Amino acid sequence: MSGDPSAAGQRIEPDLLARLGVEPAPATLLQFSSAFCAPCRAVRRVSAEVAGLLPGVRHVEVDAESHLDAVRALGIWRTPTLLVLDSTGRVVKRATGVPGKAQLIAVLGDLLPAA
Amino acid sequence: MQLDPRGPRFAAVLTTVVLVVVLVTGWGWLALVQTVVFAVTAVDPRRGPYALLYRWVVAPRLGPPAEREDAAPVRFAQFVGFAVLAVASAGYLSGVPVVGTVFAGLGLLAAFLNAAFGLCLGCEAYLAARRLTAKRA
Repeated sequence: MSGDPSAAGQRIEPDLLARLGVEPAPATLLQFSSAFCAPCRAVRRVSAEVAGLLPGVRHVEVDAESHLDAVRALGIWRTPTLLVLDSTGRVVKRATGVPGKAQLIAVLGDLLPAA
Repeated sequence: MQLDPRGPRFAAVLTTVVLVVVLVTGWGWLALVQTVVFAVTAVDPRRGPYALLYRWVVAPRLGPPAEREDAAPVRFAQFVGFAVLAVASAGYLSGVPVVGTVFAGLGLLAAFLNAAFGLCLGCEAYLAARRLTAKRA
């Protein structure tokens, strides 16, 4: 394994993103969840709220277990893991655990054109 | 299935106490009792002995829960606890107390983290375990 493929600054292959259901958008919240994950629900709620609040932000939740190849390719070991992606598929931030809503909005604010 | 999240937390506190007693006394039969408790709770988290105690004694003194949580992570954690304590019980009862101590200690660590911080060690390790055990496509 070379480096950390989903660390901030890394660009994720478009093919891989397409397989995970990520569509072109100014910003994407890509969430990895699993069935036995209690905090995943809280991450889903925060992400959905933020996506509803900020136009141009898509929230995509992926069942890590049914995408183990992608999980391995991206070096993801824990759920929940949330990747904040820009329009080119570059990882702007990676968060494990439940991120704060304000924190998430601040990260996304830099990606979206000023309203 | 949805649960009041304070129930499993209460159960984790009781489990912590039981496992401390097991470790201090080296009492294999008590380890076996805890193994059975884990097994019953894994099958139905609402009918586990500690869950019933919570519902009958503790819950009536508290308000309704602010939110409910999914039962799947709790069941998985109880199953992991069952497996760990089954080995501990076998160790104690077959005269290999060092195995009992090591596995009861593991169970105590997991139960304590759950009771004190709401952290589910088995759930955290689940994806890592699947990554390592599932065949590559």
